[in-house]
Parts: sequence; structure tokens; C-alpha cells
Amino acid sequence: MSEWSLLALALLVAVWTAAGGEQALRDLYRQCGGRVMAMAFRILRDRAEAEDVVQETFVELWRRREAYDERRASPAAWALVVARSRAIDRLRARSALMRAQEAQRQEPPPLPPAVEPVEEREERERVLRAIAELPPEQRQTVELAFYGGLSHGEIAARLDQPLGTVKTRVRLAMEKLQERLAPTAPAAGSAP
Amino acid sequence: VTCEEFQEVVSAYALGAVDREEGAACEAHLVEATHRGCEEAYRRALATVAAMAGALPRVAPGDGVWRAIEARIGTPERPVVLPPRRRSLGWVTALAAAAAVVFAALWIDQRRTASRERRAALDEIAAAHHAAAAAQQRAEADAQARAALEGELRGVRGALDAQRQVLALLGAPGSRVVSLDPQPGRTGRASAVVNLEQQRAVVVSGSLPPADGKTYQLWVIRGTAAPTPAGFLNPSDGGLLLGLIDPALLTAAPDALAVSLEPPGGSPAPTDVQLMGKLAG
Repeated sequence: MSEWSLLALALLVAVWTAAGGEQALRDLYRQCGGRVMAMAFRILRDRAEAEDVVQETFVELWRRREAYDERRASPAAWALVVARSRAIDRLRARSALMRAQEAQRQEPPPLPPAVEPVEEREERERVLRAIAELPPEQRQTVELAFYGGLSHGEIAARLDQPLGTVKTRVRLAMEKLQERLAPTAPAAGSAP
Repeated sequence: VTCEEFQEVVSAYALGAVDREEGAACEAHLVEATHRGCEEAYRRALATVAAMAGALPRVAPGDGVWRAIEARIGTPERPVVLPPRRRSLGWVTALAAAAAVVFAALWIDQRRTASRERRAALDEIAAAHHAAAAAQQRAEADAQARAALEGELRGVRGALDAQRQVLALLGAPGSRVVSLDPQPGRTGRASAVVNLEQQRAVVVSGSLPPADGKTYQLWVIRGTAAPTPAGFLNPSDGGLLLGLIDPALLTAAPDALAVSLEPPGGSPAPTDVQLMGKLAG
């Protein structure tokens, strides 16, 4: 094959790849955009900020697509992990007082949920069951870390518990969840 | 960090619960060349964290979110139309195809650049409109809060020196009024008249419930720093509570002001926040 043919082929592949990448991002957004939004809203309790996080997440996934390593996470898991990280960054940027106030609230004001297919509802119920079956102190610890973005040390201070106890609770809770959720993790449906 | 040590904390690391030093050590470990199951353990932990998000019913983002993502990644509005694949290319065909693809690539690039520039210009215009609308909104909110406070002050009977001072500050150039709203489960409101040029700010409330042996403490909030004690709300004539913010705390604009209910003498950090109002934004 000549150099020109190789160049043509390379350009063709590049164009195909770019178009395919855009389509892949669109598909990923359809697949888990609603999940990303739900999680960002649960953490930030603010619709506009949650939508900003959704936007930042997918732009970041696009810009860092070369760094994506499929051995580490599925695309949906990657999107959710990035989104959670961005939401927690925003949460941490708020003042300590505002965060303390937010932590006092039991539940954020509800947003209308998207249409939920039966299999997705069943999956959600499975996750809820897995979390509900944790011993209360483990559940509380892991929820403070997951939704509040708190570190071991911050959780220990918040709950007035020894650091070692908090570390053990997080580890045990995550091991149990891993065991119960692993077969179909991560959850992902077909609509945003 | 050894593989065993990493795997001991991997779930907390994936959850983001480890402290900064521990997180850095985990990151460094992951890029090492050889592992005994660390990558698999990390993948499983990440999958579990992602699965936990499945506990929440999904919420559809607004219609504009995907369009905003497209605009930021520079995706064309319509999909790129690709030439059909050919099973084999002769030399001449390949050359022609190469030329066509090069021109197509250049054309697409030029079109994208133009499109990006147009979008950037539109974004700037939209941002300017947004800023103007926000400024207008702030001015209207300020005017409303100002009118409400003036009404509240003038509605109280009696010649009240402190209130006259508040009214004077309210009329001074550069003063703005900030509404301090109740936190969830709390009642009452307050208004703060803030004049940064004069380094003066006063908080006024006629609707907070009785402190019942406690005291209402004022707080200045900046960024992520711990709230700074800024004074107290004291009973004044006419049933009003008045409090001056410590002028030393007004050398720069605070992000927010807050009122909390504290034991007599106040607290070093707020324990029961009643009201809060943002100055920033």
C-alpha cells in the first residue's frame, strides 16, 4: 500500500473514530445521564448545580477520553465516579457552615423522577435492599462518605467515634455491598 | 504501599473516604508496573460505588444540558456524513480518496473552527445578557428588601435612636440590604444593611422568636473558612433586635451573614443556625 493510501486510511480512521466517539458519548449520556443527575442532585440538593455537574462530567469524559482505561471501570461506572467527584468538589467549596446546615436536612426537595422501566426499578430496589441490610452504624458511615464526601477523619469527628472504628465500618460496609451488588454492577438503564 | 495494604483500603479509596496522603499513596501504587490483584480490586470497588448510585431513581437533566455539552465539545449539530467503506482501493482510487478525505478533513476543521467562534461569540453575548439580567434581579431584590425594612422600621412607634442610625445607613451611598432567611425548621427573618465603603453593617429583625435565656449571635462567612463570630443581636426599643457587625470583619465583602442561637456569651462556632443570607452572587 502506498504512503498516500496509508494517509488516506489514517484520515478515514480518524474521522470515523471522532464521529464514533461523539456517538459513544451521546449513547453514554442516554444510558446514564439520568443516574448522574440523580446522584449530583442528591449530593448538592440544587437542580441547577446538579445540571452543571452533569455537563461538566460529560465534557470531562470527552476531553479525557484518551485516558479512559476500560480495565479499571465500565464507561457508566467511570461517568458516575467522575460525576460524584465533581459534585463533592462543589460541596466542599461551600462554606463549612452551609455544609453543616445541608447535612442537617434529612432529604432534599424531590424532583420528578424519570420514567422507570420495570427492570430498572427492580435493580434500584435491589441496591436499596443491600444498603438497608447493612448494620445501622455501617450504613450511616458509608452514606456520610458517599453522599457527603466526608473522609474517615471527618466522619470520625462528626460521629464522635474513634478513627479506627470508622475505617473498619467503611471497609466492612463496602465489602458487604460489593458482595451483594457485584453481579450486575453498575446499574444502568436506557433513558437519561 | 504494598498490594496487601492497598487492597485493605481500596474500597475506601474508591469511595473517596481516605485522607489526602493516603489517597496520594493509593494513586502512586496504582501506576506501579506489577500488582497482585490491585487493579481488579480497584475495578470492583469502583463498580460498587457506581452501583450505589442505583439506589436513587434517575432524574432527567433539563433539555438544554445535552445541547450545552455538545456546544462545549464542539460537536457539529448534525452527524458527520461519512463516505461509504470500500472493500479494496486501487492506487488511483486511493489517491483520489486521500485527496477527498484531506479536503473533507480541512473543510470539517474550518467549519468547526467557524462554528466554535460563532458559539464563543454567542456564549459571550449570552453571558453578558445573563450578567445584566442578574444585576437587574439583584437591584430589584435589593429595592424590595430595602422597602420592606424601611416599612418595618417606620412602623415601630417611638423615637428610636438606633433605628435612626439604621435609616441613616440605609440612605448612605453604597449601602445594600441583604435578606437573612430562616433555615429549615426555623422561623423569623432579618435584614442586614451593609455598607462596605464605610465598613459598617447592621442586622435588624422584628420577627425572631424570643431567645429564652439564650442569645442571637452574628456570623460572617467567607469561602470555605469556618464562620467568624461577628457580634450579637440585642433587644432595642419597639421590640426590634439590632446588632452591629464587627467593622474589622468588613475590610472585604463577606460571602454570607448568618444568625445563630447560642448560650449566653456566645459560642466560638455556630451550633444552631437560624437565619442566613448571601451577599455574594
